[in-house]
Amino acid sequence: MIPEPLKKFIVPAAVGLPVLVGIILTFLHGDMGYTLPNINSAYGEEIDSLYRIIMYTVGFVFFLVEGLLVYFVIEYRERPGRKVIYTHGSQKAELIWTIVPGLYLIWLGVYQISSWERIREKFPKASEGRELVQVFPQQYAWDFRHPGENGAFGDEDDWNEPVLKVPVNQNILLKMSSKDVIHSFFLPFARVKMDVLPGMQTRAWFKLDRIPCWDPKKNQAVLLTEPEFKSKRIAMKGFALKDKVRDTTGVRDFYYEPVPGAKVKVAADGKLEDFDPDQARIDYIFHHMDVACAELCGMNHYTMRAFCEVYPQDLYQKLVADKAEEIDGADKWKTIWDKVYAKFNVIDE
Amino acid sequence: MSQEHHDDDGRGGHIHQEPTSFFWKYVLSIDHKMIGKQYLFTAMFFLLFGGMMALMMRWQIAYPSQPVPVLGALLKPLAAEQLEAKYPDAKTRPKPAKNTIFTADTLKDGKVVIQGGAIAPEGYTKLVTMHGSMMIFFVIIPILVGAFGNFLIPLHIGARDVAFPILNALSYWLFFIASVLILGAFFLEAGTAAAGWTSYPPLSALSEMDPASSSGGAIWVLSLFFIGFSSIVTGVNFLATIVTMRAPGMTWTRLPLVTWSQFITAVFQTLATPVLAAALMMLFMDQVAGTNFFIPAGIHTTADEPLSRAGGGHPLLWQHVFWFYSHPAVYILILPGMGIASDLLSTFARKPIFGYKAMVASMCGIMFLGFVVWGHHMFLSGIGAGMGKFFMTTTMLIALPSAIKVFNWLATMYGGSLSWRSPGLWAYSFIAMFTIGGLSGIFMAATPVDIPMHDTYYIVAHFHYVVFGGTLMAVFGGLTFWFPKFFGRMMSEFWAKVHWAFTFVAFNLTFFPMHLLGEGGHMRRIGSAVEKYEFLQPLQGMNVFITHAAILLGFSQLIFLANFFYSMFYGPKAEANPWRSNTLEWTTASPVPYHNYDRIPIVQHGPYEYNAAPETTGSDWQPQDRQTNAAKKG
Repeated sequence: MIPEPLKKFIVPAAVGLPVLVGIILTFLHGDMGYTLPNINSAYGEEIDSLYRIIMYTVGFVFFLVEGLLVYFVIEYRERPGRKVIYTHGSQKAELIWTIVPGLYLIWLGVYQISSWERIREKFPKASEGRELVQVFPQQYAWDFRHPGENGAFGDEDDWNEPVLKVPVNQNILLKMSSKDVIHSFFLPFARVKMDVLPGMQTRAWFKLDRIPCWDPKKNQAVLLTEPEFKSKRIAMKGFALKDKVRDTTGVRDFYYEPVPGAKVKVAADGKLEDFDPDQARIDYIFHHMDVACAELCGMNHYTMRAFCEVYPQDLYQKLVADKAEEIDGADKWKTIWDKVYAKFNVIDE
Repeated sequence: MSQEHHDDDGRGGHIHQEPTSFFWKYVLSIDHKMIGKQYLFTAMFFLLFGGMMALMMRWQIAYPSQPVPVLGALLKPLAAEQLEAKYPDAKTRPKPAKNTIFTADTLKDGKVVIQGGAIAPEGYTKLVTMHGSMMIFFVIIPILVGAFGNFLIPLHIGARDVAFPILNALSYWLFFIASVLILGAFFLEAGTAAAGWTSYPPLSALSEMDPASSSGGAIWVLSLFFIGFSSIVTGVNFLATIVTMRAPGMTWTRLPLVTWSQFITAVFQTLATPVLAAALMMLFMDQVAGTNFFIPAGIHTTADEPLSRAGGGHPLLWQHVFWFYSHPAVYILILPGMGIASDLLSTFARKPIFGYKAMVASMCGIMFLGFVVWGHHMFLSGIGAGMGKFFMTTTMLIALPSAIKVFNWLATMYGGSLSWRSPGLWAYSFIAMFTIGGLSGIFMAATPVDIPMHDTYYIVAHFHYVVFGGTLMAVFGGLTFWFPKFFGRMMSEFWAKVHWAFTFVAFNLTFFPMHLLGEGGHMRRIGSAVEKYEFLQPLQGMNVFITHAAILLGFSQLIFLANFFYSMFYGPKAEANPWRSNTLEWTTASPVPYHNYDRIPIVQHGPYEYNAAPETTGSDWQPQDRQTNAAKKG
């Protein structure tokens, strides 16, 4: 069936073809599978691109090594007449496979240092335009405080919410300390993660270039750029997020329902207006993305989720102005943070 | 009746008589082989126990709030109404259990409306803590060092026992005490520690933050303290043994790589474990004595009450001191496995190990670098970015020795005569799986990529590939290979292959998808994440798949257990050297007699002289104590 001269290619082909397919799939992986959306325009693409570079190089080595291993196990299997190559080694081979990986690792180390510096050292200054937010996690909730219009913390101007509300296309600088144990602020769509410890301050920064919204026709989340947001009619208030458990695996189907009796406010052409169902449509519903706690912080660690809402710049300014008119009562920011972490209220950068 | 023998080397040693009473032979034995078996059986118990906890965790992730099959019904606590029915007298009625691992039934009007026996939310954190702690400290380290190290080192170097046999027995009994403690914690009112095996304070130090911290958490600390001392004692013992008790002719370049790996591991154990002891002492004092090593000022409870503690400590101090030990610990978890894989590979490829000196140099490189990489566990902890750069550099560098080893193993296979008998299959699998685990480490070493990967399932996938796919596969291979020496019989080759096939497939089906979970942002140490997080909903299907694969993986181990214990009593009797292997233990009988060697062997060449000159010598193997001109002297 198979000509004799070709038989010696069976094993190499049987091993080599999957290896080739594997290498090709590795290069395609960035566009398939379980990759998260990436909406951090400050350095999100740097992280993902570094990940892809490592994936391609490491993936190539992986398929090469595993392919050779499987090939050797089959080709050099024990059988009568098998002659073994007796050797204790080769200095030349040792030098090659020490120097080549060594150079790769050194190159990789040097290549990514500037990214690391940008993410962890070069925080946005006030002169570059930034939104400062203090983050105060506890078992098992998050709270976020903004400095208000005067830009200073620890006064009547501040406003806080358990939802992280930030403007789109603006540097956001988080200054974080914990009330009790170590937590970890994780914003998956922005590739932001940083532990939050009691007794010290940690910082993280990012810039988001899209706004999470909900498509009620397809019943799924979408990410809109600011111009896309402005060109659509977005329901900002009057809908509530619900979920329905699908089966015993706990997986949920999310959907929005109008809140009975509530006025629906729609953002259209940069303005907020009341919604009249007879006159106009709703394209999307204002949505959020998940903020997770990524450090085991106690029994109910799994419940420690918050939401992050991203606003177009003009609506965000309106939000800040509205917040200035609210009167905040005594809360843990005043009773705890301003006493324990008073020094972190000083903005010196 | 005592027998006096004198060794040929004129050392004037004598052979001790084997004890005859059950107690001195099997319980308080000072024989390294019996101590090795004691470690092995205790660790195998914990392998089952820890594995069961992993399956319970996987059940909770895939089917949150569903009763765990069989175990749930057996182990669920009684609800208040059920306690009233069972104990009518209020004076003798026990209180409803709190902080349990399983949920109780929910009753309405005397009828069960929600079945109990699911994993309680607080139970998950206990399971994940105990699974990790047990697997690292009570399974892998005891099997690699306590079982294989104890059993093989004296045999490999041609000695009759370790340097300090009574200290060796103490080492095991310290481990036993630690085992009793860690199991005892399950019976405490607040239950076991629940802060992860890394036990970060303030969570692990304050019972205001986790109810078990000053009870179950303190017991956890004590248990690890005992096991740490067991480790240090063994490390000192092995260093002294390997340095001073090698047989004539057993130079450093003729040592089997198993023994070299145990030597490097012993350096880690001796130098790094005392640092863990210091960390544990400080944590214990914070837990029970009100000190503040790791407690900063100003902490408040959930009820917004300030803790009545002065504070002044720092949580990062724990992380530095803990990881200074625990990073070398992960090399303790892999190095002996690498040594076993090397010996198995050479035997079953019928070829010398390619690049023996490079293999030893790589292990020495791991030894030195292993002490300066600990900060890569803390890239996102709040350490400065400059420190991050330092640890990134050292972490990148430490990938190199492991890569060199993989290439040397591959080159050993090239041109060999590769047996497909089960120890060989395990050795090839070790190389394949360790490669995956090692390569995934490069992603995390690149600090910007570590930002999304840290504390996700990517990390879980990485370390399970190196510890299960690497070390545990080497352990299975080693147990099958050295079974004749341990017990004088052979394991069933057929069932060993069946076990290998099921384990290899189920292991990859379980852990490879975890890389994809990590890419998707799925956090670790989190049960029922699907109940809360919208972005994790698309990943739940994969979670369910992993759970099914894990159940297959767990039950596949029953094949190994059945084969192991049946063969111990009823397996075919083994000859002295069924594998035609070169190292010294194969020159003595199976099972190994009490005194190891009738005469201390005189070593002539290295341990990997397979097919040196088969035409001249007439065989493809050369025991280390056989003089031959054809073999490389080493």
